[in-house]
Amino acid sequence: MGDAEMNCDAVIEEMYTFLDGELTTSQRITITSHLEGCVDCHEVVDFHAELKLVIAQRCTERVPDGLEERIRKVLASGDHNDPAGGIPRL
Amino acid sequence: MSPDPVEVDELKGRQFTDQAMEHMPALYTAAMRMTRNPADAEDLVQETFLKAYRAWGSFQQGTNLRAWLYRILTNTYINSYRARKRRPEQTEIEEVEDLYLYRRLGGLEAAQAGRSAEDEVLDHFTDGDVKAAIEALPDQFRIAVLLADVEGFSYKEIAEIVDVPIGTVMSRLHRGRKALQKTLHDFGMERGLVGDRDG
Repeated sequence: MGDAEMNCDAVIEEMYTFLDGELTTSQRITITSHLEGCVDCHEVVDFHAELKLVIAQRCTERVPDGLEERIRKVLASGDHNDPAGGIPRL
Repeated sequence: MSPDPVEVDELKGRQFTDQAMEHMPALYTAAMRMTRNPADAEDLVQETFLKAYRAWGSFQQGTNLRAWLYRILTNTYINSYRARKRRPEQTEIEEVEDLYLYRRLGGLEAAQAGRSAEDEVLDHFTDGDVKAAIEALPDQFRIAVLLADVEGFSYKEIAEIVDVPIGTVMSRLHRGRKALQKTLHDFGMERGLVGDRDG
């Protein structure tokens, strides 16, 4: 992909990398300009953008009362001298 | 004169709690989707915080704290919870075609101008539908979809959190998202929101 125009199949192929924000600026511009001129692809990409949003928004949980307090107490009390248990750094 | 170890410990504890606690609600949401029940999710989050606290000395200030906490959460879930439940790692997933949900909704008459009928169908899926559809995915696909779509991590961050190559992350996301669409479509059919275009 580059400055060349993309066909519909290629746009749909890259749809999620586009929606996930994983493309370079020039790749993004190529797709955006295709979407401006193509109703079909626009509708497909729009639908999946909406679906991604629905998944993010309808999946949150209310933290149970007392959990934060419980964690604070456990951290403040007792024995934290155990080794890290091999948790690697990022 | 060396510093009082109790004071050092208190300072370390305060610094950790100040920085990490703001991520607790999101970690709890992820823990709920992983363990599928509130009691285990609470325990998993608490264990994650304890492990993170103990490993706090190895955390490099200025690097990605959120990803570091999710890495500990994910490792703890995989290494202790799944092992404890004796649930074997399920790696098989039903293969469905691309654009599964969209193609089955295609051609619906738009009820409102300016918004497609396909988009409107999405409004009918409840929180419970979305949660159940995610929870129905096998672990490795569920974790990938959670981290990308719910938590908004980049492919590179997810690769570091679950310790696999970026290509593997993309493949799990691709397959996991399709399977999730199929589950949502099944829910929609049960409730008569969508028709079955194949049948």
